Amino acid sequence: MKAIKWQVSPDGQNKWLLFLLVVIIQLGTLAYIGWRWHNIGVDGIPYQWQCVPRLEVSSFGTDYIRVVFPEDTTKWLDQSQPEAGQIVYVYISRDAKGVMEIEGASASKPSVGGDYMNATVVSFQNGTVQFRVGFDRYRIAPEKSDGIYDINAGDNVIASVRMKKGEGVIEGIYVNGVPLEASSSGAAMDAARKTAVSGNPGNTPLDKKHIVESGMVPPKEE
Amino acid sequence: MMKNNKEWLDNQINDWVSNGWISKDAQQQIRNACGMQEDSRLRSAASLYSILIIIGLSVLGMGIIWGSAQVWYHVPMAARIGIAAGILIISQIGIGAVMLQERQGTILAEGIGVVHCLAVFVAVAMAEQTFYIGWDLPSYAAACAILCLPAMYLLRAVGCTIVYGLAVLYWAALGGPLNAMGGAGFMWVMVVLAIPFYRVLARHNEEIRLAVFSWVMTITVFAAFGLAALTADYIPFLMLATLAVAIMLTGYSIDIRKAWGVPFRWFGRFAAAGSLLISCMPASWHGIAEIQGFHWTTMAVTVILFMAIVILLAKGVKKRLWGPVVYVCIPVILAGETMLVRSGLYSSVPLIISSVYMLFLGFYETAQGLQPGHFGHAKFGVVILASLVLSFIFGTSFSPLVPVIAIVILGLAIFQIRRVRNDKKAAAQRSDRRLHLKHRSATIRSDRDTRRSKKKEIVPPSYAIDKRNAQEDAETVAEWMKGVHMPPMRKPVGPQGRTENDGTIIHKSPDASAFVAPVFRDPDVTVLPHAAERSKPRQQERIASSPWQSMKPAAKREKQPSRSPWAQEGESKK
Repeated sequence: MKAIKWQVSPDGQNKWLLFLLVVIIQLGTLAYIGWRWHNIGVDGIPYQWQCVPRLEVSSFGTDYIRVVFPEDTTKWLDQSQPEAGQIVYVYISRDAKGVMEIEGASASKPSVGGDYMNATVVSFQNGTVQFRVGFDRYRIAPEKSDGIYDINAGDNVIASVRMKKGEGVIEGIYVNGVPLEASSSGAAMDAARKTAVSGNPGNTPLDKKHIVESGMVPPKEE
Repeated sequence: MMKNNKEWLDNQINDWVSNGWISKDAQQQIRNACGMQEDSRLRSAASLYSILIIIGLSVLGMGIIWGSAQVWYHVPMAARIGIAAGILIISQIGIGAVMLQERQGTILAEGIGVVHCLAVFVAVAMAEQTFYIGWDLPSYAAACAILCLPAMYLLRAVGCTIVYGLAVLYWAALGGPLNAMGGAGFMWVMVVLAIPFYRVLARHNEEIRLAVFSWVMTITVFAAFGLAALTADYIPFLMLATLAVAIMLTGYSIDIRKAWGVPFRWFGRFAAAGSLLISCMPASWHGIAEIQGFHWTTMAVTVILFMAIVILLAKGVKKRLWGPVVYVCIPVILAGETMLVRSGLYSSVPLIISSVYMLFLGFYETAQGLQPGHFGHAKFGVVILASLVLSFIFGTSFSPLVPVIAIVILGLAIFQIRRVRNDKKAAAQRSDRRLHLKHRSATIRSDRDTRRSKKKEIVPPSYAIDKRNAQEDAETVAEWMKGVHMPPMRKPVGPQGRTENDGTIIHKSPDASAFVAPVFRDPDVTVLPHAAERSKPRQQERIASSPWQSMKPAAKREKQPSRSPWAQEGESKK
């Protein structure tokens, strides 16, 4: 190996400035990605949106589940037709209970005050656009994801989402107002372990504190 | 590492070769002299070990990934972003170390550069997956490509160019231009960001890296253009033609002996001919006629490329004229046709013009290929003509016999023209030779006087050239120099009015003179003639005497009368 020369040639000062700038920008990019996520979680407007959770299969396992939003079509508000794969803006609002209402989609952002979410066009037909949003993952412990198997067709499953500047972060998945993690075998084992330790048999997963208020959960479909 | 082992010396020699200080032969000779010839058995064992090491490391890496995946959920988010930043910082330290050692543009720098690019991709992916708000692959590829780009300049590593090119192509293939800021214009921005690296390599005279760079970037530009055009409403063949010609002229502005100019010239030629071929098909014009208008980025890039063509043609291209000019006509023709179609005057005229020019181009290239050493042009010309016929078969409603007949007729016409021209040339040569062979006595006598008078007026050719050069110089010389009057330089004139510049006569060097300058002596010292006679009487006598004085006179021989052999004959008859 060649011996390190600890002398920097004077004509290479710009080179080192550029290097320093590159280091700052590259690390700053990582920092920005983390900050953006936290900022949406803190400053974002909370919405509730009906969803269907799906287990994700991978060779090495995953620490998340896939979240599908069935309400993925709306009317197209523009004159020009959108292309598949194009990023559009879905205009949204919320009712008194905090449930998301989709008003339409456009290629341009809504006027000041209107909330929206970024989405990718899947298809377009007869003035109706089908879209897909980016926030389609919910981070969950692998041993607590089997609560999905207990979800029935009649259950109300909602995702608590925070939205800011079109980007969203899923805060939680609730089945009939109960967190998905709470209905898993992992949670039951935790509860059993706690019972064995404390000797209080009344502490079951269903007795856990509900994060979402019961009044915010849509009525169970018959 | 110690500086006295073979490994260190081997590294040093490799560095010298990569820096261009010594040749490969010299490297081998030094290795032989130092006894560094590797045993083949050792080498095969080393290769076996290296294979085993690679397999082992791969298995180990997969095991680490699998193990970490099992506990990944329990790794805090801060730790995850810390790991990502750690990977990135380690690769940045590598770049800094290479810069400190001033080993940019070496194999080490190439390796560090590629590792850094991979580290950037891994770190950003880790951050995006940890703080997930959506997985936008095109944005991810574009962001990582731009973040990797500075390493290419800092390390002077063409490996980073390859990674960058692949990232740009991946971005274009995923439909990145659709959602990018400025649409397809962002693709041009990404391409342009890598262009200054050419200057960096040229300044350091790194020919191999220049060749790799030119190949990678040329392929990247055209492939990215094609991928971006897949999602467009129309085929942007006008833009393709301007791009192709600009790249081709860039190639022509590079010394033809340099390897890195080849991809620019040939890819540019292919793309220009390809764009013309596309314009020969009616379907390509439907898209142009139907769209509402061109995107502003498309128009801006086309205008910039046209300006680049003009600048390159005026300044960059110096040694060739007709080849570049023939190809420069392609975007001009396509621009005219586009304006015609966009004005609502859609007819067969653009198709006919493009087809005719395609025919001309095919014949031009074929004719170029007839010159020795230009066989590639002939092949290209034939391919152009064959492509035209195929486009008529599959892309138009015209009969394919139309181009075939046109090619045959034109071919025969060109063949006939060439034959007539050759015949004329030969006839002119013959007549010229006859004119110079008039040696009849009458013509010689009649022309003798005129020839003599002309002879007197003959000016040596070199002076004639000098006069012309002087006139040219007077035109091109700077204004401040015109006022300066220098005395004309005299040229040595040889026999028959020839000068040294003629190059056929080499003058003899003048003979050295036998003259010796007289030496002044004091009159007292000068020896008088009579004194001189007195001082050397005997010697003078001896010198004056003849060497034959002391010789004895030759002994007198008695004369013997000669007798004829027939003198006694006849005596007996008496």
